[in-house]
Amino acid sequence: MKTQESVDPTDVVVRALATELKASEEEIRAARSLKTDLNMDSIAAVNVAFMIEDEYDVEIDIDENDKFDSVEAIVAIVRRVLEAR
Amino acid sequence: MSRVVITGVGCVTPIGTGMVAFTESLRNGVSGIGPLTQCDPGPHQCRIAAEVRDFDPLRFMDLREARALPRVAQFAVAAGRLALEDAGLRAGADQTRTGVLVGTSSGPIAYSFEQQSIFLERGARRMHPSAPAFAHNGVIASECAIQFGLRGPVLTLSSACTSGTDAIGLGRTIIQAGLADALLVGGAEAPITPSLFAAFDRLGMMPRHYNEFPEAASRPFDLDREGLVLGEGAAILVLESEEHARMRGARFLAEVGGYGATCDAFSHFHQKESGDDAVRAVELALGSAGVGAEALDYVSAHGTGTRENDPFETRVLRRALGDAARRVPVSSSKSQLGHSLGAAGAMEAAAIVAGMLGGFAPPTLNLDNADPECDLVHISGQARQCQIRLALSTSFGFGSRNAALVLRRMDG
Repeated sequence: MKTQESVDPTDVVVRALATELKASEEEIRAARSLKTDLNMDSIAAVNVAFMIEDEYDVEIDIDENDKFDSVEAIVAIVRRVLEAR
Repeated sequence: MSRVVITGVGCVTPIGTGMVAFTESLRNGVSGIGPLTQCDPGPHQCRIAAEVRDFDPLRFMDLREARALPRVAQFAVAAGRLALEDAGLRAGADQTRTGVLVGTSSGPIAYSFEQQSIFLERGARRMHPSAPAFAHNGVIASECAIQFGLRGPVLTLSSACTSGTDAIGLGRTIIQAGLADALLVGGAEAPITPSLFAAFDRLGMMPRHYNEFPEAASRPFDLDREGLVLGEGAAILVLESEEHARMRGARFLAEVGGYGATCDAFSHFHQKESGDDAVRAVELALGSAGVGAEALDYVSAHGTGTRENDPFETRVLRRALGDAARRVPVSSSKSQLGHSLGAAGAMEAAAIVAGMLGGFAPPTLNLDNADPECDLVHISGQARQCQIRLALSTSFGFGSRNAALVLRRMDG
């Protein structure tokens, strides 16, 4: 699963966000801005990134924090990282 | 001066989580000591420990905290939650005057070592930005405050193996000084991490010939004792001023009647042979409780089971208690619990409360053949049915520290 090419990381991303932000998966998916709607701070973002890194054994570039603000944006980053390896 | 009362107790220990399980194990002489599992036992001469084997952090906190928090802070949160439930404190409490004072010796040392390993293996980019807030002893008290919304003084103190006793004694002082109406006090420890375990092993303070018989390894006051068995866990008590507790209709379990603390100012590893300052700590505790040694029904000894501690402590108790030492029964719960360093004094206070409520004094296990240099009135092998109205608890620690507590049963 983890090494297949066409992985959809959405579920992993949503689960990591729900754990870190103590929100339901519905709330996570509904949030337009994780920072504004669910108070995700920079430490929470790192925690989410580390959870995803552990899941896929990859490195997520934390410098892209400015885009690290919605499920879609994070999923796009993870997809790019997975495709690049 | 206001009396300070214990209205709730919570514990996470190698012989049970929560006071019901803990009390039953104490009464039945259950040993919490088994094979070392939290790190590779291979390199060590001592390969046993008193681990909390059934701890499930998710019973007490959300997944985020269960994943991220140092184990020592998880123990404190769990014990604190159980203590608050036991005291029924949260409803109607003025939380701006409720605080936390938790003792620990090693604090989040396992977390710190783990972060260091991550840095060495995976580099700076994998260092966790939470580390500055988590890799210090203060995290234990602050996490309790955050979890429970306690907004009074929130402190962690670290005084080695007297930490838990000091936290209870100084908690009483803080309440008497009017700085808080109620406090979570006690101790938390999670020291079973490869490098610290190795250091204790090299210090030669842990038994080496009981690896096949872990339950026989902690044998305070016995001729064949070889040392302390490293343990972990937490015990938290809810302390309140008597007025505050009465006003909210709380159940009174016991009073923290007296406390004494001294230091030999001598060595990091040894108490001074004379025991003068240790005797003084006991005398201070009895004095501040306004009682004489003849009034004691029970002594919960520090009783580590090291070659050095037990005869030293015997001499101290015989001097400090005088004639009463020929009559007052003594035991060491470390024979059941192992030695959880900064949590030990708090676990032992919880054990005294359990005994006061349950009509028994816990035993010293494995005391098959008492060392003649440890000639006290021992409770050997099995718990003793008795009524404990007044108890003394002693703790000694690295840095040649001495601390003593007097607990008094309250009926009503």
